[in-house]
Formats: sequence, structure tokens, C-alpha cells
Amino acid sequence: MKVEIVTPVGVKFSGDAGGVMAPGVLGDMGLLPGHQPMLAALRTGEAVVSIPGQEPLHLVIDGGYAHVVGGDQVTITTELCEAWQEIDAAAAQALLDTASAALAATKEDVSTMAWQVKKHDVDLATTRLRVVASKP
Amino acid sequence: MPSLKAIRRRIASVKSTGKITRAMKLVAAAKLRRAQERLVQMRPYALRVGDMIAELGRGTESEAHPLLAQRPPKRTLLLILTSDRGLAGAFNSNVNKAAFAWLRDHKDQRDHIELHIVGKKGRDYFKARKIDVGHVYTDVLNQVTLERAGGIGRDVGAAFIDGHFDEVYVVYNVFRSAIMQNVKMERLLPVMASEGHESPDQAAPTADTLFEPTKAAVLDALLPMHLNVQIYRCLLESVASEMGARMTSMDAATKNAGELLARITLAYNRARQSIITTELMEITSGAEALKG
Repeated sequence: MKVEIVTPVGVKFSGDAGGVMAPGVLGDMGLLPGHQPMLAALRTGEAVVSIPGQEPLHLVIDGGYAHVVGGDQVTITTELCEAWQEIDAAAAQALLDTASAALAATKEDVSTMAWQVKKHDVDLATTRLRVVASKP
Repeated sequence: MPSLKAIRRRIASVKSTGKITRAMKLVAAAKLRRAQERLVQMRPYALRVGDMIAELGRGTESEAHPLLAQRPPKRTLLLILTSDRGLAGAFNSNVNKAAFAWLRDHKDQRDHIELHIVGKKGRDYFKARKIDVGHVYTDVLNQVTLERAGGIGRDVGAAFIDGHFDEVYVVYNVFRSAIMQNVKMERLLPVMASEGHESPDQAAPTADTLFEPTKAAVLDALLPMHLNVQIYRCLLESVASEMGARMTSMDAATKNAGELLARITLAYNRARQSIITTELMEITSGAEALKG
């Protein structure tokens, strides 16, 4: 299947793949050839592109959408997409520490924007560390 | 005839102006290259967001989301994209004139037309013509980011949803090349689902498309995103156009400075020569007089 990952700063990945794992808002989903057409919202998390004969590609995805067209084309549109080469592990760890401390100390309700922003930072940092750890 | 000293001063001034315009041209050329790269990089993104909007638009009524609401156009918002700095050829005045002409032609057909302006040049133009200006955003074009575009998008979207406006247009420069920029006026809101670009390879039948979590939720998030992406694209087009216009006009200015310099230098040499000739005549005629 043809997979394309597009961000505002360029096409991050474009090519043939055996399948994609994408972080959907309702849970991770595996997209394989022949999938029903779908438009799904994504959360902040890790996407894995399986490429035949190569190491799978682990990527940080920060929200956006997965669009499946005609069963053999997946387009992931997201504002941020990073591979392990672009991630500074120390900075990600620092972000995780400050963000989780802020999240633990916060008195705001789970439904508020402020809480969601902090949770987002924690998710982003956690995902970055996981992607760095997946370095082949 | 001006004195030698005056001409010398003029030569120095033209020379330094030429240096400044040359430097501005080089800076604009470097910035233009970067702006063009960003424009090319973001195009696939805008295209894909358009694809998804088109997908959602199939069979969606205009009541499905407040950003799709079609109302009779009574109250209009014009978003005008200009730069903060001048010396960019006709970049700012083209946009301002187009917006001004539209305003003049449509004033009678609308109850209210409000201007929201990006850039000091647009603000000053309409202030000078005693036209009320709503929001003014400055320092945008020198640092265009998706967040900044999102801020403008949120303001515009909220005003539309609250019913302050029935339609929103953007007036901006489309970048064609360094020597060509076209003023374009586009409708931002209400979003027309059918306006989404659809690439031919994606025209598969999608009647049974799944939406996750729900169609309404996807629409809710995607429409504001589409608006922000459109504004972001217009801002990037404007930056590239501004730099292109500045580069071209500064190139012309540098050439003119060179020509002017050649002319003044000629005048200076003539004046100097004629003084020397006069002095020589005086000396020789003095010597002749002594001989006699």
C-alpha cells in the first residue's frame, strides 16, 4: 500500500509499505492493505510504518488525521512528525520531567484546556523517548 | 553650476544609497529563497487537508457545522495581508488598492464591511483614507508560523460563528515569480466543501467511508484546521511575494543609482576640468603680460 505522511514543513514519508500502525483517538489502529475507506482523528503518539525488507520506521505523530482511500492508500496529515534522528533525548526527558511535575501539581479539572495542554506535553515527551528507544 | 564640493557630497550620497539598495536586494533574495522553500513544502499539506474536506463535504449539509453556514451576505469581513515595511515595489499598494476598490464597489450592497489588517502598511493606508479598521496584526510576515496563522484563524472563525459576519474574504498577493505577483481575493468562510482540491488518484468511491470517532467530531476539528491552513498558505504566499517585489525593486534602484552616479561623476569631472583650464589660462596670460 502507498503511505504518505504530510506535515506543513514538507512530505515526511512517501512510499510503499506493508502496513501502518497509527495512534487513533480511540486507540491504536493497524492499517493494512484492503482497509475500508476511513477518515480518523489521531492523538499524540507513535506511528509505525512497516516497510518490507527494512527496519520498521518509528515516528512521533502529534495529532492530525489518517485518511484511507480506496484500500491501498493511507495519508497521514499531522502538524508534527519526527523520527529518532531528529529527537534530542535529553530535551525530551527534561520536557517529560517538567510536564509531569506540572501535571501532578495542577489543580485544574481534566476537562480544562490547561490540563489538556500539560497532558499533551507529557504524551509528546513520552512518545519521543519511546521513538528514540526504538532506534535500530 | 553647483560647486565642486556640492557635487562631491552628492556623489557620496548616491554611492551610499546604492550600497543600501544592493544590500537590501541581497537580503531579500536570500529570504525569498527560504520563503519559496516553505511555500513548496506546505503545498502537499494544504492539498491533503483539502482532500479530506472534500471527502467530508460529500453529502454534508451546510447546517452540519457553523463554519459551513450559508447566510445572505449582509456583513462582510475583509482580511487584508500587507507587510510592515515598505520599499517593496507595488507589493502593498496593489493589495490596498484592490481592497479599497472592492470596498467602494460593494459598500451599497452590504450593511457593514469590516477590515482586519495584517501589516502596518495596510493599516496606514486605510487610516489615511479615514476608513475604520478592526483588528490589526503586526509583525506577522517577518515570522510566519502555523501558530500565528492559527491565532488569526481563531479570531476570524469565532467572529463568523458568533454571527458578526456572513462571509469572510482574504485579499493577498499570490507569488508567481520574483518579478510577478498577482493580487487575489478568496473566500475563506463559509467553507465550501466542494472547493477542496481533489487529486485525481483519490477519486475512488467513498460512500461507505468510516469516520473515527464520529463524522461530526472529525468535521469539528477539521474545519478550523482547514481555515488555519488556508490563512497560513496566504501568509506564506505574501511573504514570498513581498521578498520577490523587494528584490526586483531594489535591483532596479541599484541600477538607477549606478546610472545616476555615472552622470554626476561626468558633471564633476567637467566642472573640475573647466576650473583647471581657467587657472591655466590665467597663468599663461599672466606670464605673457610679464614678457611684454
